[in-house]
Amino acid sequence: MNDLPQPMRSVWHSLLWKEWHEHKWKLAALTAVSVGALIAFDLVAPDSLLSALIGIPTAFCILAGTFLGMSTAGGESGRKTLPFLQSLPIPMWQPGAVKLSMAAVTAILPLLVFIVVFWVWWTFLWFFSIDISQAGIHRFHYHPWGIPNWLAATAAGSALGVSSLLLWMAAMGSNRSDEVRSGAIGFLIICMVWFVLASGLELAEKWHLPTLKYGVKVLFAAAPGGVAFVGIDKQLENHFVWWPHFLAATLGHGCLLAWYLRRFGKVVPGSSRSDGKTLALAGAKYQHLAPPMRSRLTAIAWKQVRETGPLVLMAIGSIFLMTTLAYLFNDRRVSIHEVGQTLSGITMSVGFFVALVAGIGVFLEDLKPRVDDFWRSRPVNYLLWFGVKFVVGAVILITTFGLLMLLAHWLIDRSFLRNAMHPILTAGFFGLVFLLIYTLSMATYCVLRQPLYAAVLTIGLLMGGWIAFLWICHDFFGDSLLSWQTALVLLLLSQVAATVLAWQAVKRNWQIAAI
Amino acid sequence: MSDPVIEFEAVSKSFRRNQVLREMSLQVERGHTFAFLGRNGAGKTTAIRMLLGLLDRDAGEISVLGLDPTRQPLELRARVGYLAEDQTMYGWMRAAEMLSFIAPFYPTWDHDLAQKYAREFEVPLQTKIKHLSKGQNVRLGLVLALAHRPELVILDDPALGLDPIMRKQFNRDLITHLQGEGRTVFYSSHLLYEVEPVADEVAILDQGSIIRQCSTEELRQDVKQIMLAREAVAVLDGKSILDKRPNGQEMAIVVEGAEAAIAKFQSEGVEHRVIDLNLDEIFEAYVVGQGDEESTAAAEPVASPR
Repeated sequence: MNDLPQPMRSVWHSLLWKEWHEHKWKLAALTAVSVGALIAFDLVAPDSLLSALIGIPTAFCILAGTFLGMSTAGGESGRKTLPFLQSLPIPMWQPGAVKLSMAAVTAILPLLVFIVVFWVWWTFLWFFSIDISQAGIHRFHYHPWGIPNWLAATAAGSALGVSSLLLWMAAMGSNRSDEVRSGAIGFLIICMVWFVLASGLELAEKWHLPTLKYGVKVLFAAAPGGVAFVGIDKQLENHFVWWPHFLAATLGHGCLLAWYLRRFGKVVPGSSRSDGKTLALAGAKYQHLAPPMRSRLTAIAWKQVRETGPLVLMAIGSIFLMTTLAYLFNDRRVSIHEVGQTLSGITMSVGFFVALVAGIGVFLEDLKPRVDDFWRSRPVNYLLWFGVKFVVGAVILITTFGLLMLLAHWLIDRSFLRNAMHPILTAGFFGLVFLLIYTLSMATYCVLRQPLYAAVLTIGLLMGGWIAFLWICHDFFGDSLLSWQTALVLLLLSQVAATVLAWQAVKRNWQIAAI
Repeated sequence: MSDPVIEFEAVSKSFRRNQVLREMSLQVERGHTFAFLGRNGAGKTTAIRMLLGLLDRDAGEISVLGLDPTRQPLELRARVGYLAEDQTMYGWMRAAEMLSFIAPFYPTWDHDLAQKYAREFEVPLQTKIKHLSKGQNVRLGLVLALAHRPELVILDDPALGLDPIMRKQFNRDLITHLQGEGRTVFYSSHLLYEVEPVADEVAILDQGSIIRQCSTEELRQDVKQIMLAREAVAVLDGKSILDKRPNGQEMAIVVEGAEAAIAKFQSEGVEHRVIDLNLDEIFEAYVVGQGDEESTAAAEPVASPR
């Protein structure tokens, strides 16, 4: 059988077929993660299952919006297929639109499945007496957007929130050379947008400008993911003056969509620089050549610093921005102690994200098809290459976040250095957790060679591992194993397993291409 | 009568402070096979991206098939077949799926022709693109570039990944086939010995400017190497000397306007020997030749007489 199948019916048919193929496993993976998270939540904290209805969609929105946005913005460039797409006789907004729409479907469908599963779980498995459609109102005392069914309101809010975040990430990160760069730029811009809005709110409070305050709150609807928060603004529930928010959200996201569609694929990533550099090299007769690096180790370490450094610097910037943001958003004056607590919380949350992305980034460039051939064909010891990259990336990550955590503890308790054992141990424990996330995402990327799948699998493995640990301790050992010592041993064992997996994947060039 | 398919008129392009194209002008006539020659980094790929409307020019005018690539890129791309240097396609698609996928993008796509080319080029249709060899990848790229019967075929160093037999087959069979169909072929390469047998016309791009454009035969007739006594070089106008190297007791010079130079030597009674050059040697003389500057280089082997 070497006959061609029939040509597809139209350009839209072709593009939809391609995007569906590229998103179907992402959809399956994200659905599994969202439903898996519910099962995990029920196993760990069955008494507070209702909180899962807020916590899981929120976490899902942030992760799915970010990772799908990164993939939409930088996926084609990362795979070097953008020039091929550009050479086709179609306007680039068409593939851009299909790609974004399919990403939105991939983000929203798992949320809807989660809501349905939650309802089934709640109603038929636990037989809770409270009607779930009203449960949120009992617990949290508000109607999002005034929608009487709390489940429907949560679904609507999450879907809008994740779509907004996805659009922001895709628009801000487009035309970068790969997913990680798209994600880093998008994440930083999103933090800055929220920083500007929060500053506006703070100024309005300080100078008693109610109109400005109202204006800024209206603009929240246009901010990344902000549309999800509009629904839980209690003032809206009382007055139902939602049309300015609706207008802001529609106009803001409409402009952003137009901007994304106009820009998508308009630039060949890196072309201007590479062309310019090549010509400069060809034309210049005398160029200063830096001395060679002292050793292979120095050279690999330098490369890794250049690769991980910018991401970590962006993360530090984002953490300080977000801490300031949280400070500004607070209605009352907060103490330095509370600022320290906020810094600690944000460092942990951003640290999780950065460890995940940095881990994927360690071999992102190295394992691309032609680059892979390039470095493997040099007289380089694979173990040295792997070891130096892994260790340098880990040291940068742990040092940065360790220092941030120590700063946070210093702000919480200025005298902590006199009794530093506890915070240092805590920081050390979380350092190990970050290290595991970093190593695991590196290992999953080395095996899958797809950033988004690697991220989803890492989250799944972490979640699954944690739940399995709690479940085994709880159900089989009556909590007698549930101690920090056991957790530490398991962390170290997982760390070793992930490192060995990553090393073997690099050494033997293993890959299970998901698509 | 002139019927240019491609026209560049004083086109300039810079990336930040690096000027890649400097008032570049060239014309490609319909039905010709045009070899666009230049060293790596000379600006060939930039010019091709501008041809397809993938990059905007800073100055000058470009017309391709009577269209402005910046203003009508889609109409243009529908009529052009393009194979990029080291073209990367979707690795997860099978070759057959790729052809079916691409078909609706081109109004003139001929699926039977795609099937015919795929068979002729021995493209394994049921294999995933990521598992194709380099040669198979190039051949699939060619099917994609040709199955919509384009008026203009742009090939950006296409034979780069092919083995010698495939390269020969590619150049002789495919280009000859395209020439037979009256298609215009714009062929960018730096493998000159491969271009030479098939190109009707040649343009040499160096540091962003076309330094010579003419028919291949005219170029061969016009640029020759002349061996003569060292002191006799002064007889010639320095501007026509492209390269000058000592060769034992003699001097080997490569001149542009060989006929006039030879006539001058004959009229002055200068003893000399004329050597024909191939395209490689002519190209070398244009882009790295030492012209009228005093050569200090050690004697290097020169082209042998044929």
